[in-house]
Order: sequence, then structure tokens, then C-alpha cells
Amino acid sequence: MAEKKSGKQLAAEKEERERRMERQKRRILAKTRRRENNLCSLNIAVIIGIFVFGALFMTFGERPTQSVEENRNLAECPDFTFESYFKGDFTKQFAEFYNDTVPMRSTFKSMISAFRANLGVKYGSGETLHGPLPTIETRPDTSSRSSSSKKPVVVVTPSSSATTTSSTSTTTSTTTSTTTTSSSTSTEIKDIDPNGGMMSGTVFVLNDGRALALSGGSYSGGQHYAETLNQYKQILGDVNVYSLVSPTAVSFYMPEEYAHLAGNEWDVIDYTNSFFDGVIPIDAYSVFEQHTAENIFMRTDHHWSSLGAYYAAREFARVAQVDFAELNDENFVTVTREGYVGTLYGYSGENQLIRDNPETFTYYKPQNDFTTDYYTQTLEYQYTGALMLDIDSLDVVSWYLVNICGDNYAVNVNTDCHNGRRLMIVKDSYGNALPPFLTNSFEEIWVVDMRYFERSVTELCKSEGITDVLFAMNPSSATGVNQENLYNIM
Amino acid sequence: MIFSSLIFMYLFLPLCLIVYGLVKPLKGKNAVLIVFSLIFYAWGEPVRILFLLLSAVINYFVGIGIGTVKSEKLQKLIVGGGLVYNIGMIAVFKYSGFLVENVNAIFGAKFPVPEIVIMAGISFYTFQIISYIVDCYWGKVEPQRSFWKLLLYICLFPQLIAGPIVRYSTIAEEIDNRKTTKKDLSEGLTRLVLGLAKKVVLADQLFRIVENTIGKSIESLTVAGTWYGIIIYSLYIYFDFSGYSDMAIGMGRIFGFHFNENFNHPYLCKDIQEFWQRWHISLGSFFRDYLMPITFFGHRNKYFSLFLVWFCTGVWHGASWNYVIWGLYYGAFIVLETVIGKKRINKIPLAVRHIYTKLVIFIGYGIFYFEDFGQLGLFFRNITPLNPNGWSSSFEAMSLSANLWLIIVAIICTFPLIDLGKKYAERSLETKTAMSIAGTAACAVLLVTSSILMVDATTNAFLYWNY
Repeated sequence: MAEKKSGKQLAAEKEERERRMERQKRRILAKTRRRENNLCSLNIAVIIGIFVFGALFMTFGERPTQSVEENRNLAECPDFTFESYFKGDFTKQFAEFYNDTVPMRSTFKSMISAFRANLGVKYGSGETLHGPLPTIETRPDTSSRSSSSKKPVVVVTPSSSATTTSSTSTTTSTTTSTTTTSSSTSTEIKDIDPNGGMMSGTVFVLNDGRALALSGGSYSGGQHYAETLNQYKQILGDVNVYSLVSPTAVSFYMPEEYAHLAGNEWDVIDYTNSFFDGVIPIDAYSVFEQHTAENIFMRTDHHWSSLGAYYAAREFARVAQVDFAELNDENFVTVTREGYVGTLYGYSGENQLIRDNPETFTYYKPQNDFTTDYYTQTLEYQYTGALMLDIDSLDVVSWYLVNICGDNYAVNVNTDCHNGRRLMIVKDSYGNALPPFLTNSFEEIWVVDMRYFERSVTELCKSEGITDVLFAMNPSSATGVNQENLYNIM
Repeated sequence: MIFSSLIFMYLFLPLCLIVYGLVKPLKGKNAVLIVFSLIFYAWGEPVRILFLLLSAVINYFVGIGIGTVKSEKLQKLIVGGGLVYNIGMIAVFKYSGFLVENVNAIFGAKFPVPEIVIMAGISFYTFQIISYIVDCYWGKVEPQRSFWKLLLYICLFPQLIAGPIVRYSTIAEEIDNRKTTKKDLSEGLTRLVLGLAKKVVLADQLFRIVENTIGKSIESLTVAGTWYGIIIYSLYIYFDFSGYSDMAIGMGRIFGFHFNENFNHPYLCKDIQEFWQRWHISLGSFFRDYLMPITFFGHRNKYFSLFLVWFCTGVWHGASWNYVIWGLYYGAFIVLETVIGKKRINKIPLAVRHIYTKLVIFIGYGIFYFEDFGQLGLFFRNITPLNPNGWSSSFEAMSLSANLWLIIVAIICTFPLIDLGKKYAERSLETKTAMSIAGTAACAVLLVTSSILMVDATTNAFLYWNY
């Protein structure tokens, strides 16, 4: 039989138990505090460690000076002056320099691009949207409009000095092609790339890396464009006036299920052409349709390729009834460069798929004799130089500028062709690629950029004895912001 | 200089922390904070520092004056003068152009509209100053006898530009006597990183969607597109502003200051009164404490006070009529809820209350977003069946799926995840350890991700920068 414990013993045991519990509590508390302390230290060490590494990296890392992808020089470190400091310029410029020239900038940009590409899931057959979509208009009803358009005829000025007669054209007149309307243009080309793609920035990127700028054009703008060209024609009288509104790659390579994302360029051009009165449209669309398997558009740039420009120029020459030099080794030197990533990389918000699928850039140097003079926007002579820039002197993204040395105000090319035909090209950047293919077709070619030129085109045409005026641009340009420029330089 | 920039995070802040850490006496630490705060504020526009210093000097003497004179009439005169000066500063620098434009429009006058650049943070630091001089007058705080300590309160860079509006009473003691504990440093750094991630990882990415929806062309948006845009904008504005507040509170902790919270998961609110108790708390409490007690013609009128508070809340946000309408719009709902009464509101099913509050908030942000009345009209048209662009288009579906993870994460982050995590961690020491290590790892990932994203975020200033 167990001995009964006295009250004192029980009290002592209880006290002991409580002491033990208190000690244990204190031990647990101390352990918790130590652990919390250690966890705080770990947290501080990790975060401060990243800050220290980041600060050292930003201070001592090699800062780039140029961005090849964005085709620009990066901000430079400003010189300190009290004046610039108190104006606030120094601190602003220094912050810009610090942030713009981050070491390994290009790598980080790619990582940002990958991050943004993975913010969601693929839509349909693989679409990711980051950018704005173009405003898509519906074609206005023009059924009640009476067609007073006259069918224009190319006037061929006979020249005593003309040396060749082997025109590729067999017709003597060209009519406006406004009758063959089909709203299912995209249906005809729907199988070119059935694999879908993704939206990135303002660009649709196909799964094979081809990027498409989502242009479309405006119907109302097209009408204004046509009316402006009609005025040119009216002023210029017998001079042949042509309109080459070139569709862009989106008209040919956009998968059908995404065609609604862009406007219908073909329809806008067709609508525009229906307003011409004496102006001769060049149907680049039908020509391109036959060559979609070839590289007629750049895959990473919003321009056509030199090959696309060649086909457009050939069609123009056919309509204008002038000789045309076929693309062969005898007439042209072919220059190619690998690794081209054009403007759409930037427009897409540095889409990695575009960056990882660079293309071959090809252009053609005409072999006949000609001289090229460059003028200012007010038609003052600048210098005589080459028609084509040295491609190796350009940043990769700028290779398209190789043609007529980029977007110059006014360029005059005097060729060894003597057929009495003198051409004026009024253009945006699309038109840059045309002159190299027309040096065998016209004895003189003037090229003015409607965005920068400040003199009267019609007066220049009259003073230079121009026989043919070609307006060459893409639909967004013709029916958008540049209408006003066209009007201003009339 | 904005917090979410590489130059701030990897040059300014580390330099400030190093110098602050090297200087031992508190007086020296305060001097370091003043110098760095003035450099911070002068960045990009040094001239504005003169106005800040002028305000500090004038209000220092206002405080001293209130504490020195015995006559209540004189005290009233001094505090009145101080208020006129401070409100006048905001009026000149923020509203003069707006006022002249309206006078010209109403009376057909042709006064030249002054083109004054809004000084960053003027609404925030001026409100802090007003709270200081009024508290001195009411005897809630002792006037600060040291100019440098008052200057530190006014110009302390973590809260200088975009709040929270810190009361002098909150940090008066810490100006004189503070210590950064290891816990302060750890929690401050964590808060800083979380705030940065809210801004750079969430807000900036959400803003890209906003730009492509309501920011692009409200004319052509469908019903679904307009709602989608404004809901994303509501998420964006929360993460942008609360991210800044988190960074400010975090940096305050690093330097040993304990600022009050400015946000408390506002989208969890069940009525509009509750929303404003959770959203921009420091502004709401400022108006509650300093504007509501004002008497007119000898007595107070509850509804008039409410009208005044919400009118001022709207005006405070910007010099444009849409902000006034936005403020009064909320005022109307607050009055409505006051009339109905809390008891009756609580009887309404919870789901209905949540739908009601979110609808009010989203539509409210439409009013807040569109300064142009034509655009605002189109917004109201587009959220209804009157929208001529139809109910929906593939655009919304594409944008939603392309940003699905971002939007889901953003919605989840409006819930009190950290609080829930802390509560769960209390289960045992092992759980706490595991959660803490996971938290540190998450912070590291967020800091690295945010830093990389900042390479492309140099122009994304905080929305509340100019308020």
C-alpha cells in the first residue's frame, strides 16, 4: 500500500512541477526568440545581400553604350555643372544614364520579354495579347455614288533618244481595277500559315517567328488620299500619275482565324482606287499574291523586302510601259547579310520569338551607270553620293535604310537610260526600295519623301519635265497621317 | 526620383543606409536623413526645395508662436495665418490654372492661365504640416522647438512624395528617441520588397492592359471591354498606391519610424463606408479629424460636414471637375448608407453587399480616370446596353487569357495573405520557421524579379506622385 504523502510533500512536488514548467516555458521562449532572431538575421542577410550585389553590379558592371535591338545610342553620363544641376538637367540626365545603361541590358530585356509572354495562357491556337489593336473600319456604302471616274491612259512621250523598245508591257492602256471585289481575300490565302501565333505589342507573331504589323488603313482616309491625287493629276495635266498603295505582309500571311485583328488592306485599296479620276492605280496586291511563297516581305520588319519591291516595280514598269531590267546577275549584284532583326522586334515589345528567328537580308545593286544627288527639304543641293549605303556601316535593325541612303528629303538619280521618261516618286519609307529597280527604266528619277519635303512637288515636276509621278506607300501611310503631307507639298 | 527605379534602389538607398549606419548619434542620424531627403526632393527640380524649406520655416514659427502666446485670440490668429499660407500654397501650385480656366469659362474673361508645374508631393507634406499646426493649437502635441527636427518630420523622404500622411504625433517621440531593432530591419526590408513587387510586378503590368483598353480608345470598346478595362484599372490603382505606401512604411521601419497603415485590403469591404476606412486611411482620417469638427454659423451639421469632406476629398485628388464629381459620388453613397443605417445594411445578404460595393468602386474609378467629360460620357454609355460596339469581342477574351495568371495573382493579392500566413505560422515553431524561410525565399525572388523589370520601368511613375 502506497504511503500517503503529506500535505507539505504534495505542495513541494507541485511547486517543483510548476518550476519545471516555468523553466520549460522559458526555454521554449528563449528558443523561439533565438529562432526568430536567426530567422530575422537570415531575412536581413538575404535581402541586404541582394541589394549589395545589385549595387556593386550597377556600379562596376560594364555599361553598354548602344542598343542594337532598339537601334539607338544609349544615354550618356552627363557632365556636372552647377548650371545644369540647378536647372534639374544633370539629375534627370544622370538618372536616365543610370537606368538606360544597365549592365547586361540586352539580356534583361529578353528576360522581361519572356516574363511578359508568360503572364497568361495561350488563346485559341496560341495568341498572347499585350498591345493595342488597330481600329478597324467597315467599308462605307458607296452603292449610290455614281461612278464618274474616267479610265486613265498612260501617255507615252516619244523620245528621239530612246534606245530600247523592249517594253514588258503589251497593252497601251491600263484601267483602274475596281471591279473585282471579293471580301474573302484572306480565304484565298488562308493556308499559308495555319499554325497560329501570338499578339505581342502591336504586332502579331506567327509561331515560325514571322512578325506582322497590324495595319489596315482607313476608308475615309483612302477617299481623301484619292481626292488629293486627283488634284495632283489635275494640276499636272498630261503627266501620268500612278498610285502604288502596297499591301503589307499582314494581308498575305495572317492566319484566317485572326484576320479580324487587322483591317482589310485589299478592300481599303480597292475602295481608294474607286475614287481616282485620271490617276492610274498599280495593283501590287495581285502581283504579290502570286509570289507569297517567296520572301517578298521581311519577316522581322514592317517593310517589304527588296524582292517584293522588285515585283511591285516590275508591275509599275509594265503599266507605265517602260523597259524593265530583270533581276539577274547581269543587271544586279546581290548582297546578303545574315542575322537581320528589324523594326517589328521593337514594336512587339522585344518579343523573344522574333529575336530568336533572325532572317537573311538581301538587296540588289543595279549595275548600270547613274549618278545620285541628294538635296535638302528646301531643294538645296547637298552632295553627290551612292544610291545604296554601305550596309556594313548600318546597325542591324537599320539595314532597310540601305536603299537610297534612307529617308532622305529629296534625291535625284540621273541614269544611262535615254527614253525621255522622267519619274517623280513621292513616297514613305516603302518607296525607298523602288528606285534601284527603275534605273534602267527612266532617264531621271526624283524621289521625295512626303514626310519631310517642304517644296511643291507639282512645281518641281514642271521645272524638271517630269513625265510620270508615282505615289508609293503603304495603306496606313496613304490613308492615315501622311494625307496632310501630300496635300501640303502639292 | 521614384522608388521603383534602379537609381533609387541601388544607388540612393544603399548610400543613405550606409551613411546612416556609420553615423552613431541620433542627432547625426537625423542630419543624415535630412540631407538625403533634401537630395531626394531636389532630384530633377532643385528649385522646389526652396518652397519646401520656406514652408518648414514659416510653420516652425507658427508652431512656436502658438506655444508661446497665451491669448487664445492671438493663437487663433496665428493658426489661421498658418492655414491660409498652407492652403494658399496648394491653391497656387495645384489649382491656380484650374481656377482661372473656370473663371474664364464662367464669366467669359480672358485672364492668362498660369502654367505652374505641380510640385511633387505638395498635397501630402502640406497636409502633414496642417495636422501639426492644428494639433499644436488644440494642445494635442507640444510645438517642436528644434527647427531641424520639424524639418525632418516634414521632409522625411520615405513619406514625402506620396504619403502616407504621417501625423506629427505619430513620430514626434521617435524623432528624439528611436532604435532600429533587428525585427524592425527585417520587417522593414520585407515590406519594402513587397511594396516594390506590388508596384513593378503587378501594377506596371496591369497598367499595360489599362493602356490597351480604356486608355486607348473608349469609343470602340464593347460593354465587356469597358468593364474589363475599368476592373483592371481598379486593381492597378490599388497595387500602385498601396505598393508605394508599403515601401514608405518599410523604409520608415528600417530607419526606426513606425508609420500608421494606409491600406487595409480595401476590396474586401462590404459597404462604402468600410471601403474608405480601408482605402488611403491617412487621408480619410485627416479629413475626419480636421475637417469634420469645423462649425459653420455656430453649429455643426452632419450632412453639410459630409458634403464638405467629400468635396475636399475629390478636389484633393486633382484640379479637374471629374475628381470633384468622384468625391461627391462617394459622398452620396456615404450619406445614403448613413440614412439607411448600419443595422439595416448588415441584414442585406453578404454577396449582394459585395456586388454593390464593387460596382460603386469600379464605376467610381471610371469617373476618376476620365478627366475629359466627353470620354466620361462614352464610358457611361459603354458600360450599358446602349453601347453601339456590342456586348463583347474576341479582344477581351484574348487579353484576359494572355494575362490570366497576372490577373489571378493580382486578385489573390487583394486578400490579406500575409496576415493569414502569419496566423498559420503561429501553430508551431517548426511551421513558423518553415514559413519564415519560405517568406525570405519569396522576397529574394520578388526583389530579383522586380529589379530586372525595373530595367524597363524607368518611366512608370507612381500614380499618386502629383497629388
